[in-house]
Amino acid sequence: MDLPQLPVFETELLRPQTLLSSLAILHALAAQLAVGGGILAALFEVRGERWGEPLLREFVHRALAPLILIAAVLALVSGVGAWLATSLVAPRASLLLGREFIWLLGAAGCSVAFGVVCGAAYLSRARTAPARRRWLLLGGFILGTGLALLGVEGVLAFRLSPEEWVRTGDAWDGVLGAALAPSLARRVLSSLALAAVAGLIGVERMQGLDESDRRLLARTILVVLVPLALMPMATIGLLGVVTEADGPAPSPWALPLGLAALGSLLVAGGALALLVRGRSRPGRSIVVGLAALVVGSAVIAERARETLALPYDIRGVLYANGLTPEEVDLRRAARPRPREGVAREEIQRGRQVHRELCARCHASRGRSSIQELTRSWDREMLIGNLAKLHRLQPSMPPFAGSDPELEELVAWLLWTRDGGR
Amino acid sequence: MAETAGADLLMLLHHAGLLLHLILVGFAVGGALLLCLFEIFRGEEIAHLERLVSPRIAPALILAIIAGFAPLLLLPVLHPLAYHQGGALLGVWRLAMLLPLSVGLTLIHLQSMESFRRLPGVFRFPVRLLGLLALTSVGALWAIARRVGEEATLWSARARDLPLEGMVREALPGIGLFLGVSLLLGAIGSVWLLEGEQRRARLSPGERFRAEETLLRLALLVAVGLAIAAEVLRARSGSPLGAPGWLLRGGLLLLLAGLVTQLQRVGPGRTIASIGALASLAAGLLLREKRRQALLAAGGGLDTTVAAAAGDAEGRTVFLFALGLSTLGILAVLRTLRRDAPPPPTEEETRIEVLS
Repeated sequence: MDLPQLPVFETELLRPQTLLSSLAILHALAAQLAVGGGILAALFEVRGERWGEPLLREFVHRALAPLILIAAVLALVSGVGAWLATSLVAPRASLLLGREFIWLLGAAGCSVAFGVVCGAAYLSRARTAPARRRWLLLGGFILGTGLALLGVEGVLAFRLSPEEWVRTGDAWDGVLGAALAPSLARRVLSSLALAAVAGLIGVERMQGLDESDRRLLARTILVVLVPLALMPMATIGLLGVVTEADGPAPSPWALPLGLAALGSLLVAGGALALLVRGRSRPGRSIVVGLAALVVGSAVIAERARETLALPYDIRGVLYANGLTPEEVDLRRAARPRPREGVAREEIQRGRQVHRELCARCHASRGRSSIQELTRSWDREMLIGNLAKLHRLQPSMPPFAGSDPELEELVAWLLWTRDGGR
Repeated sequence: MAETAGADLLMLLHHAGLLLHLILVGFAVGGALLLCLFEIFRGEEIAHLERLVSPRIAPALILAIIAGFAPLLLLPVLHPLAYHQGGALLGVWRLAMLLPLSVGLTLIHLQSMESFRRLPGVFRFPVRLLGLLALTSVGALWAIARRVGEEATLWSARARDLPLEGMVREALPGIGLFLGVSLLLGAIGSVWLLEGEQRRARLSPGERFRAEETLLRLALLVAVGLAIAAEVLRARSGSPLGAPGWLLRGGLLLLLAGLVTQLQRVGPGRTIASIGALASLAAGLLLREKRRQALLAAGGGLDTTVAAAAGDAEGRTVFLFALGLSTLGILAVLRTLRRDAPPPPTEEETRIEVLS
């Protein structure tokens, strides 16, 4: 694999990985809300027409349409941010993904454009256009955004299961990897759950409705929450892919992901119980609880997805510090540099080692900096622990430098601890 | 062969995406600028323009963001070193762009709402102006980050040593150019919208011509200014004209001729002016990309792995299929929208909406 060395972005404001995760999670939630909102709106449109219930259509106009608009715009802006942050924080990974899946990402962009135009057209003509045209526009929105979700999900799932791509070098083998199906299933279910919860909040907040109206709306929405019962299966599938590649050691994210799946199961069970009970609808406190559970599960799942590949950015292909396993081996096997330099040069070389191997995740100052994290270690502990960090902390890549480089790094660390800058 | 074709297609897509992005951003920013100007000078055309331009600004901006994904995706692939150099040295600035983008988008959407448009000018004006400033600052931040990325001598410099003040000073003429081009695109787009309104009998010919005349005079003034600036800059740089330079000159001439013809109402001036504006914009874009291309050529051309990925015939077919289908779908939706355009709200409907 031929990847150029790229400049390292370093900031003391916040941990680069946190920045990337925050934007990625915001983008994922907004995009899922938009897609799920579209599906929910289609359900309301069709049922409203079939049951002859104008209230269902009215709900789409007053509650779901603004929700879809806001979520779609937020997804677009945060998508720009997430891509900018990815290329800043993980330049080599973004370059690899960009060039390998350039056509697929382009096709996803075309789908988004079509979906957004259909969605905007639906919003502007929702009150005046005949049913057939409204359904077509809404169908266009779901198709466009859904295909884009499929394409982007393929690229993201590739980070977890690139084995076939490594073997064949074919981009399609990368996209259609083992992680795609469970990962996509999780996203679709999560989209439905987020939109349903937002819809239930809309039912609570909408004015001018009597109890029977609210019940009708809430019960139509509850139907969408029932498929969440499949979430544990999708989660087991995803963890299965990761465990298969890693061996018997369970991923540190298995427990949070399992809890999130259990939360989804609870939501589905609750929705089913309310539907079976006939005339009841979730009260305000239950809606708040459901919202907390669904959003919490979605955030945990997104955070887990962001870190599931660790210590890699792309499993087995590219470590989180931007080095490939081959490069780590090469660096370690390289002939040690002569060490007759004066202390000042050793410190300078240590700073360089930090920039090359650590700076992508740990800045030289501030929170989460290498100095902060190793503050209580003396010289011997620094040398011993840094050399085998990947064993002490499984999310860390192995230290890629030679022994002299490790000592130079430690010398620089001790120098900065004494106030050197 | 397939690799070369793929790489050429990537370059073309980058340029086409950027051009579309600039046109849409130009229309959105230019539209907001026009509305602000008419609000300041109390132009009587403001009522028509508000009704026509204002609701189209926010969708144009959203489409601009989508079109902008093409260059955003292709830039780090085609020019990885220049792109990531800018990122590493000015990363926070590049991300800071998100804040004014969000603020600008929100304000522009707010001003396009029907109920907002019925508010007195004292409320509308600051919202539009702030939205405009926010979007202009996005352009300025991006221009500075791009400049840093292309300056090879900065590569070894540390972020704190960057001559940012100088770069901001250098970016100022670029911001002026951005606003000028946007005003031009906003004016030409508005002229097309006015014609459509008259065709649908929502505007009397007299109303249309009065509004159109003001817009065309403004556009003519800006176009003359841009043409002079382009010639002065070229003379100062002393570089040979080249194909993009000739295209720019020809485009600007067409633009001027089109605007004058439309003012005199002696021919298809609007079409000629639009073609001229697009040609000038495309030429400007090619000139702007020259420096990047030179960097690429100096680095030995496109990365071989990128070229190989671009040469993936199957992937290219899927992309072209998606592009064709999406374009047809979008055109069909826009056609439906034009055909089904609802009648303007009656006085009573407007009153009810304002009250609600």
